[in-house]
Amino acid sequence: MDAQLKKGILDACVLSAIRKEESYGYKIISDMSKYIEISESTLYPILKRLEQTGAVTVRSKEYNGRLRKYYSITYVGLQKIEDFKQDFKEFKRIYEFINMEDSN
Amino acid sequence: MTKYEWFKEFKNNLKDVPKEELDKAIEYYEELFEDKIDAGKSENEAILEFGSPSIASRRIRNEIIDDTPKTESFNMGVGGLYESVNEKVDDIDLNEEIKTKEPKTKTNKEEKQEEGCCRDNNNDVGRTIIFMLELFVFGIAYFVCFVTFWSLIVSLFACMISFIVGGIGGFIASIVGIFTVGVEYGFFSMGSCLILLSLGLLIVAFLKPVIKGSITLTKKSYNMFFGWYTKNMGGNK
Repeated sequence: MDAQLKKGILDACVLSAIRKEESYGYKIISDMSKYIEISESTLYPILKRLEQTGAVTVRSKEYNGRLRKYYSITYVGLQKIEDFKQDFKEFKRIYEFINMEDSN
Repeated sequence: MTKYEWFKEFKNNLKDVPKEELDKAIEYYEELFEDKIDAGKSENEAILEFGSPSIASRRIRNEIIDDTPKTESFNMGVGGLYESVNEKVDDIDLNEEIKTKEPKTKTNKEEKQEEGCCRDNNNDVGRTIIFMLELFVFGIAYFVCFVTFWSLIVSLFACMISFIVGGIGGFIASIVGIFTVGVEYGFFSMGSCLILLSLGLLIVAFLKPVIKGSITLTKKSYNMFFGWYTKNMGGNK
């Protein structure tokens, strides 16, 4: 898949995985795995980027005597999901156009 | 590969990145490892799922390098850094955007500015400058259009008020005029006041849809402007 396209999709997926409630690395990957394969080394840069752009916030919480990082979505993150949906609509239209050209 | 070996190689590959970044990355993988063990996986399994330490470290390195120009693109030559990033094979390539946006036309003036700002042949900085110029010009143009448009609406509103007030006031005055100044004058001014009043009422009838339309127009143009802005900001990252 085109790298740029995949990046956008993965960003939106990660954001959706924490949309309902805050979540942590392992849970995000397992929640997503039903729909899209994502490796641990792919998730890290995504989370980092989302944090830097203000789409998610991070806090450390104790769990089982160790610290775990929990990510929660911000308004910017929610907006990003909406933006993705809009982009996808546009994409669908373009797809229809491409498909139409094909069948002619 | 054992956990110890994996982390050792991982750290080794990232010796040159800032310690703070490295610590964060190690924390991330440690947490994942613990969570996997808690989920009932063996050490071997957990490490296997991490993939090779070289890929993991390369992704982190790319991410750090990609970040640097975001904050320092104005005073730092990053051309060299980008070249090394472009070598990567199967990664989520953040530089794709920069590469595909290359054919953007530049005027001579802007190119000169680009060279003047930093001696390295640095497209990113050039693009940021062009974007800033565009933002400046479009921003002013947008603002001027906005102000002009809304002052027109306000003046329309003012016209309406003055027509109605003038019409009613003049109408009353003309009734008095009929008896004091003369019948001819009185009816003449009464007629003109009625025309004024009807013009005012005509504006009242049109004002609501006009204002509604202008609000949606403003909203749309605002969205367009900021859509363009965020798109370009995204492109600069």
